[in-house]
Amino acid sequence: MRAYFEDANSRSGMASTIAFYNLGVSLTSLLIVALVILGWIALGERANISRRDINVIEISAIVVGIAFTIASVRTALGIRNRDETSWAWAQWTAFVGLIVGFFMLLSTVGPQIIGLISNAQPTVPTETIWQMTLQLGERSRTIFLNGVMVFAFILFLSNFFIYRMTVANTTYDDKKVEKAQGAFSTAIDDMTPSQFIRHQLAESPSAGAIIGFVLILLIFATASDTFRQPPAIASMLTNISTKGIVAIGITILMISGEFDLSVGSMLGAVALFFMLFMTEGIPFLGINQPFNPIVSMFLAILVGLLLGFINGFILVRTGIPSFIVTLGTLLIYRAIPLVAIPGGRILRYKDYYAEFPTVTIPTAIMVILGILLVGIIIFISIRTLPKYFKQAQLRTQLRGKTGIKFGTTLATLAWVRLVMSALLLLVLLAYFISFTLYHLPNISQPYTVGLFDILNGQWTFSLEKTAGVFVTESPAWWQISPLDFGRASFRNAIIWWILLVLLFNTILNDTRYGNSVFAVGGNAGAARANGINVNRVKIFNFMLVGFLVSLAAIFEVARNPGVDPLKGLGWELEMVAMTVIGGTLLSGGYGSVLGTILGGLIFAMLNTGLVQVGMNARLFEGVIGVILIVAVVLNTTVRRIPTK
Amino acid sequence: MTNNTHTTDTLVEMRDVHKYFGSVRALRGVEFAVKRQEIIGLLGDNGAGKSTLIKVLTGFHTPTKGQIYFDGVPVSIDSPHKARELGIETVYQDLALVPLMSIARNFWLGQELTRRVGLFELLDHQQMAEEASKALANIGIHIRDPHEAVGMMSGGERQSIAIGRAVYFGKKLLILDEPTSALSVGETQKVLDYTYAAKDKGMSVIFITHNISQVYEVADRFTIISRGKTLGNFTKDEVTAQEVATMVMSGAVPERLRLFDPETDIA
Repeated sequence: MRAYFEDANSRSGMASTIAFYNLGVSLTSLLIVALVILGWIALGERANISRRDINVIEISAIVVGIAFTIASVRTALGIRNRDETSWAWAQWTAFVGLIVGFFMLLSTVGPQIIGLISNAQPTVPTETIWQMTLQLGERSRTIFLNGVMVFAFILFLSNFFIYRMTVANTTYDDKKVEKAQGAFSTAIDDMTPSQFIRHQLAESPSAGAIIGFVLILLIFATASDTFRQPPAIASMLTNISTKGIVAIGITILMISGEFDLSVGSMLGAVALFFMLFMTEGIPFLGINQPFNPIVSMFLAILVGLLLGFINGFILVRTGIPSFIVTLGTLLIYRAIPLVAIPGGRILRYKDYYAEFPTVTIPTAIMVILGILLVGIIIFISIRTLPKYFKQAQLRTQLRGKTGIKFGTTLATLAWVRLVMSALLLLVLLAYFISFTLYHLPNISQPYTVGLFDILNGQWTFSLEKTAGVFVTESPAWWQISPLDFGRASFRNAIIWWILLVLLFNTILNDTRYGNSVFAVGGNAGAARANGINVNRVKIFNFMLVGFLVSLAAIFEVARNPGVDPLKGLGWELEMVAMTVIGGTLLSGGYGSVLGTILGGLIFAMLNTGLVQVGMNARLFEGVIGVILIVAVVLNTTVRRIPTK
Repeated sequence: MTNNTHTTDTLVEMRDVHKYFGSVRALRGVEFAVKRQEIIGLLGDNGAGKSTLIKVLTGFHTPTKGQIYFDGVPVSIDSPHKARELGIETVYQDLALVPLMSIARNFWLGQELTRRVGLFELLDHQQMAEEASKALANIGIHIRDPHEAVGMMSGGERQSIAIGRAVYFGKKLLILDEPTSALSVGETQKVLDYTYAAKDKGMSVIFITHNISQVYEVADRFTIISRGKTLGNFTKDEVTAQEVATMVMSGAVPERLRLFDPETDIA
């Protein structure tokens, strides 16, 4: 930066950025001044557009705005003329902006915080972007986010960055530089941004899926108004969640070099057994007493594990390719419901019982659960936030230092990450505290909830069914396209899906077992030579698929408590397609659970989106086929692009 | 063949080892010994039984007949896992590493470093990467990025990493199966250097090849196998490279060397 002012020939991206930023700021504040004078922005008491008088607040706003305009223009021109004093100007304008933003933020956030503690609830403005009602024991409080807050927040943050940038960087700690570079990647040195993106894509197993996901999302979101609405999103996620759960297992199995065609039939069989256990017991073993639904659930999972084990055992014992083994079991497992449910009948829960099953638990358990979750959120916050803060600080210090690429971008991203995760954790914390306080008064009474509702209940965005306290009404989204959360019905399986994805993604990437899965699929000989029991890993993975299939079957039954003989038909190939689109190699050794999620989302988007943009829904499978081939071709070509 | 069977300077001894696959007699009474800190060249034409012998030693096959002594103690090596426990590390040309996994992950495969997170043991990626880089640098292998996939590396680099791993984990016996046959001259030289480095760290090395030129430079001793039997056992000063090559090809011991031949020795 110093070089920019001293040497007339040098160019600096940061200087021009700040100059343009200041020009933008001056224009904005000029516009605000004009709007205040014309009465379009009314401040203070009884704001009204038709009012002609101007009050003290508005006058001071006009004065500050004009001063700000002049200061910003002065700064921009000064930087252009390489006038070193302009640097101080930039610093001061940023500082003023920072303070204005801070107080604006305080004026909207402050009353809310006071409202949470005291008895007075501040009036909730009608034009909120997002709001959430918390139940704090007896009282209910609404916290909200509105346009002023967002504006103030952006004002505050952007000026904060500018201010920090203009403060002279005194000394650098070389160790810190090294550490920060190491922490990111040594490979990004000397890369242009486009090379960097290509490198990152080449590193990722699911480059094709990422590109495809973004493209399809953009196409549908622009082509259809309803596509980006909550009801459409809810229907997409609901449709894909149970399939996504099975796809996790298929991905891990495929990484270990095998695949399972029998999942569809297995799902049908497990769903049938689950229903049978709940309604009739085990008739073929002479047990004609139905089981408790929860016991039935565990028995169904056992059946799934057993079916998975059979697949794995045959494979390991005979050495037949898994294609043949599971093609065989696909037919065998399908025969179970076909024989058990004759004549195209549908086995319905409602034919046996008038009411769906409920579970009654002491409310104390809900309270303990709430406290536990609060504890976990606090633990995560303590573990991550200070780390993120330090990284952000470090990144900010390192900007402009030789050898650091994309310094400003990375610093901004680090701050954005910090703020986003802090906000997310805060919302979760508020929600779980509210959850605990809601149950606390009834601690002596039992708490009854529908079993099927816990498993795969429907909730609108109010989440009322699961917790009864989380109420979010969002009347407007920037007043452009109203978001209709009321009609959007989400399913609990989405949450289970996300949790399972996080769990298995960690297992796959960060545990010894996950490492051995990659080794078994990548080079079974090397895995064996390194002491890994290849057969055990394979059998275990088949059982994992069985486990996840039985979870999916239970969720499916909970959503629609009836089993027909063809349940799950055709799932197997969809699973393989999702997994392969997600970048997992059919030959094993490479892939990711997160990629499969993208594959699943591509499926869901096409399924819903094609209809919404007015295309023939029968095209769905054809389009999926095209996407499959294109995604795999992209995956392999992107990996081959040299990044240097 | 030798009389110092149970003394401590012999690391491995295989006595009268037979291995039959149905009617195929792959090994018909092989005698083979490796001393401590010795690089031994195991030579033989294709199909002579080198690979079977090594697979018996590394637990992939159990011998039909015969006894193996390790550190002077009779052992039965019935699984690759057992061989690893004894301290035998094999670097196969295609079996040693998983190409799609990173260097660090390969280096620690089967004995990954973990850190505790709450109740769970998660892999400690950073420490694994740092330790792997350090350990490899220790014997002179400098890698660009421990997170790079092994598949992106040349054959010589892969061999080096496998050797470096064996040295790091303090193995006693390193078996190199045709390590240099697919390498360029420069890379071959590097692999030979690392073999020396392994010997300096106290390991014994079995260097399997059918091409004497690749091993003559580094080996202390040669054992030649022909049609499932030990043909001869010579130290480097007893034979020339040309003579070894002739023995491998013809399967017979030249007249001049009969003196050193163990069978004539006993008679």
